[in-house]
Amino acid sequence: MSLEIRNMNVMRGGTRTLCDVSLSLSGGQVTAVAGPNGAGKSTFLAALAGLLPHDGTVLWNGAPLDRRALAYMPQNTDVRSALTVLEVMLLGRLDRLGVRVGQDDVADALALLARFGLAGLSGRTMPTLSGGQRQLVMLSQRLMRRPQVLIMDEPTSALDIRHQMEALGHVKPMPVTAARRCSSPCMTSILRHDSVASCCSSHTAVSRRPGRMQMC
Amino acid sequence: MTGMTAIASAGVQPATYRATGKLVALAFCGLALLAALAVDLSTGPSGMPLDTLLPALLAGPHGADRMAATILWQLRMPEAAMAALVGACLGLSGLQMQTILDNPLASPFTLGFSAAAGFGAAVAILFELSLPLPAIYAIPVAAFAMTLLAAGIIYLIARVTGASPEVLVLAGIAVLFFFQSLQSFLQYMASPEALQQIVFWLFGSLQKSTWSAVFTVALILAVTLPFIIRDCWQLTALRLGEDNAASLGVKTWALRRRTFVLTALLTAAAVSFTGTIGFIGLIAPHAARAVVGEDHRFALPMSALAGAAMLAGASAFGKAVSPGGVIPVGIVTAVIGVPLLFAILVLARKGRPA
Repeated sequence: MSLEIRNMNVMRGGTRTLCDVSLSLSGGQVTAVAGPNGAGKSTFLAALAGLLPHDGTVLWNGAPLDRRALAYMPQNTDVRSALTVLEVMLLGRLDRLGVRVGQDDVADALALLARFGLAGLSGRTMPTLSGGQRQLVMLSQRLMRRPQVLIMDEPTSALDIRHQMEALGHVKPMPVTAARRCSSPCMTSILRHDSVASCCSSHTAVSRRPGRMQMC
Repeated sequence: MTGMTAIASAGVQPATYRATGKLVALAFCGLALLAALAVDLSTGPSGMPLDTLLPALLAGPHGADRMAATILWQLRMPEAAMAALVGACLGLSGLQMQTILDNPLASPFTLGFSAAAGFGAAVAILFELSLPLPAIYAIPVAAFAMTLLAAGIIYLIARVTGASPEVLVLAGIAVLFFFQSLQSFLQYMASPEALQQIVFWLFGSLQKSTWSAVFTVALILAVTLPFIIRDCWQLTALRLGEDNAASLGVKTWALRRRTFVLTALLTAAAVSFTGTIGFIGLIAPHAARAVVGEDHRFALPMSALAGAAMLAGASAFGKAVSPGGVIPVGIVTAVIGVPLLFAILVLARKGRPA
């Protein structure tokens, strides 16, 4: 299992914000993306998630990365509407939702919430949660997709230290049995090189100059 | 402690439990619609008690009691059916607009659709004699065309500038002022008789309903429904916010575009046969969300039912208050609707857990 990024370039508003990025990340590990403000970290993650037009290739196990195999958590995940926590979780499986909601999807959602210590909140609406709880819900929503590649842009900015450690513990690679087929994240990208996040990561991709990125 | 048990018991089977509650709410709203329609059918200049109404209803349009059959099936039924259909169209399009524009103020009024329809109607009334169609067809056709034109203008502006919800709302309000000014200009130029006709059209009234108008609106509603149903979850996902929805695979711009076309069609159908009844499109969605929440599988039908029930109720009220001359329903909806909206906002606030 490996994620290969070859010659990725991103143009935004006439300027090249990412320049010829080539990285090779092996599966089952957490990679932190680090660099100064404006270095192109968020751009890199959004392009990797397929949300920004870019050239170059992204290969997962030698084949082009299928968007259904990845989950991407953008930097700004705040929900302003009165969706309930359970509805938010179910939306993580948007492709599968029909007129009736499958009971297994509901069961998976409740199991994931329980794992993040949010079990009692499933019927609450998003605005009634604290900022940290909301962020944990959005993180668990991405795990509902059972991603093979998990891309997160500052996923723990609203969490206290203990919850940051806990949350990142959940997304760290774990034996498949423990993962209970709910999630098998193989790559995690996290911003902020100075945070707890980088303690939990085994590898770091660093951008020392704007638009350039390399492993170290 | 009791709070803890409440949370724990709610956590057992929330999904099935809550869906049942929402279905019950939908059923109640359906019953309210039926009740409003029954009252609407039984009120009118000549009155009709329920024990005459029911047999006449069952006997059909060719029943033995000729007078009851004529009053019911030729005069009152088209109005009542129109009230329900137009209310449903406005409720649906209002909720869709508020969702795609991420703005609780959005309604057919806000985007200038109603003003455009009014301008179209005014043109048709003013140039009635030089038009190839008789006024009864020319007015709705002109109003419909003008509504679609307004939608086209907003769409073009959005297309050129990048289609953020803010730009759509801004373009809508600009279009509103544009068509309102044109309409004022026509009113200024019009003869007193034409002016009276224009003003009466703008009030919004169900009295111009005919069976062919009812069928036209029903057809447009029926054509748009499958597309609306297909996008239920996508619209719910849009309530997560732009970035979240996009990251879950929603093509937000394409979703906005097709929903915008649907709302334009629904609004055009609703307002071109009745005149300016925009208020329902603002408050029915709020009522629906307050009762069944954000899940569009329930909120869309609820908004449609609530809009239909409100308009049917307003129609009955308008007839009951002045049995001789009917008060135009557009006036009644706003007068009743504003206190109703306040009540909904207060109740929704109370119902929210701290």
